[in-house]
Amino acid sequence: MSRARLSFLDALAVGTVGLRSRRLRSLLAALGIAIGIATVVLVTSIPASSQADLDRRLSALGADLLRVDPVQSGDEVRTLPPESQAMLGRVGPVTGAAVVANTHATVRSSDLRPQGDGAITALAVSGSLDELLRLRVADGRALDGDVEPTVVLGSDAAERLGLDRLPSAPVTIDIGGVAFTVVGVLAPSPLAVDLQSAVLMDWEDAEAWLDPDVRPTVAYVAAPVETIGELRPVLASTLSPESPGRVLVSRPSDVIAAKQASGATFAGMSVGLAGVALLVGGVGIANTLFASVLERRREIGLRRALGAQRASIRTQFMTEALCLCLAGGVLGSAGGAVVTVVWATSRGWPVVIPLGVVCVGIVASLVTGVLAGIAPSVRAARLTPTLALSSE
Amino acid sequence: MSVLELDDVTKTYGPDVVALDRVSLRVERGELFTIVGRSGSGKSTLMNIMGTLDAPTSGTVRVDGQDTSGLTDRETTELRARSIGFVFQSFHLDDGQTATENVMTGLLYAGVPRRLRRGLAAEALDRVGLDHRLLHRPPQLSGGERQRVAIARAIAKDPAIVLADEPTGALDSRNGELVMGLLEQLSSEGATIAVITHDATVAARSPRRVALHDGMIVGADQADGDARSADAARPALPARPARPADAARPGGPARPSDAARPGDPGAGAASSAGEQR
Repeated sequence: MSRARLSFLDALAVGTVGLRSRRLRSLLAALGIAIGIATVVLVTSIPASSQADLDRRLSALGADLLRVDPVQSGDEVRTLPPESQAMLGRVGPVTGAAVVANTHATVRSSDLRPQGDGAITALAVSGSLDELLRLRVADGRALDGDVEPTVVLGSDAAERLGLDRLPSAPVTIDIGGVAFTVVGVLAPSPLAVDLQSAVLMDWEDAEAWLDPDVRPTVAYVAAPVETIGELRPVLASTLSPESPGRVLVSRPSDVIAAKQASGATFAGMSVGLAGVALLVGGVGIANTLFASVLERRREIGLRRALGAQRASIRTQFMTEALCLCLAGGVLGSAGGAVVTVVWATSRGWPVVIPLGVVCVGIVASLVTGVLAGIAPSVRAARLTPTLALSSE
Repeated sequence: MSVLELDDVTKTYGPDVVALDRVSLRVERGELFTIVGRSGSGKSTLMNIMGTLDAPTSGTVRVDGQDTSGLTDRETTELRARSIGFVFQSFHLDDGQTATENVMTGLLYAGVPRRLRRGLAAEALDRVGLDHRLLHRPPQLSGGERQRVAIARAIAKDPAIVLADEPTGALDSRNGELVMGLLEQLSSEGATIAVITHDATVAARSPRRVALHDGMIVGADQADGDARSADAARPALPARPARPADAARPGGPARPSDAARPGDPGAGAASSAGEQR
């Protein structure tokens, strides 16, 4: 009839009696764990949110993009082969290629206020560049194969020419003695900073009006992100089979990523810190339980007199430890999540709270509970009922 | 049939302190039985041993026909959970729980299924006249009411025997009367109750009583004041110094009974006093 084991519900009820009648102390004990878990959640969620923000920006910028430059040496101006775009387009995983050529034509703001010359470069771009670099037009329109010679301005160039906003009347600028009509201004593009201080014209316009033998000086290639690594040497040897070292393949987004990389090591340290916080919280819980066992000797004795097995007493105190730690874990997770939401939102980051980490945090709090609960619950179970009852 | 049977029970603490000395007694089913003794007479030790909270150094204890010697802690606990109800001087109620919940705690460890506990607890509280206090917490109850909650907790599981340790000790005389009246009533309804007390007037209410003096049963149907040691009529025991508790009490070791006990040939059968009626 008497059962050695408490049922789950009974254990839960008995194990929370002590907590319910000592609310403030229970709360404080749980708080220790909560702080540990909140730290764990914070130090993983905030970098994760930051990373998500970075990833979002990178993918907006193009982690799938490679840039090919000829390596310059001495005075000789090196260029890429004339058929670069076609050559690159034939490489297996490549999904798009575009070329840019410096026409070395002089840009003058003919009917505008005088500008310092030479700083603005005139670039010929192949048709697919807009799409590849995700160039956006901030004002006016893009190049679209007009018969007239037309250009769009990079954001810096527009500023220098005083054309951040296009006037309603058509504006022309003088490039290599030819009047080009300005049809649009580009939005800044962090991936192709050199385009920002340039005026861009169609490849055909450059050939027709400036230089029939214009040669690409930069090529851009898009390919699936996972192939980027193996693609680099292939691109080099495609464009320069004899000496691949003559071209330099780089990934523009790497530069931006590198700026953010420093945050990761800090996160690692913080996880260690969270572990310490958890340990301290666990010691706090063990301490609370020990004090509680001493204080509740009468209660323990009574329960033993009423027929509680040692195992039931152990279960009771273990349940208390687990409930304290679980409450701490849940409290901490919630707190960490709230702070993450506030923090990330205030910075305009997407909110990322790794669920795995929250689960690990709660499991860690339960493990802490077990470890913290063992010694006090064993001690409680060892109390003899007579000793416990006589300490009145 | 004896519900609780102590046979030649001795309890010593260390080599020198004899708390109980060859105590034999029987509590019969349905009776109200009283053990009376001054503080220091070994009452608490006897209570612990009768309640299987402690094991005797020698001798046997039978609860509900089962010999407790050689039982594991688990088996003893199981026996206690099923067969023994406790009532303590200081009630031992959980102030944070209602009267019903306190009674239910007793049923929990007795292995009563969850769904039956509340009903049985209410029933027990009804039996002790507290059906109007089911949801009160101990601090909202008078001392007498608290002890009745404790009694309800002891009887709710319908144990073979209820052990009441100074049940009136913390109560004023009026409430003490009420509690004793309740125990008498429960006994008349069939419950087996053993009361341990220092109070001769409490003991006087009991149809059958024995006196405990210095760890020995010294007489049946006598109040403590009349009790005398049976030492003289017995083979000499090894020298038995006073218990440390006695030494610590002012005048403790100098009790007249310790110094020179008048012989009492009539108490020769005292070791089996419990069996006499």
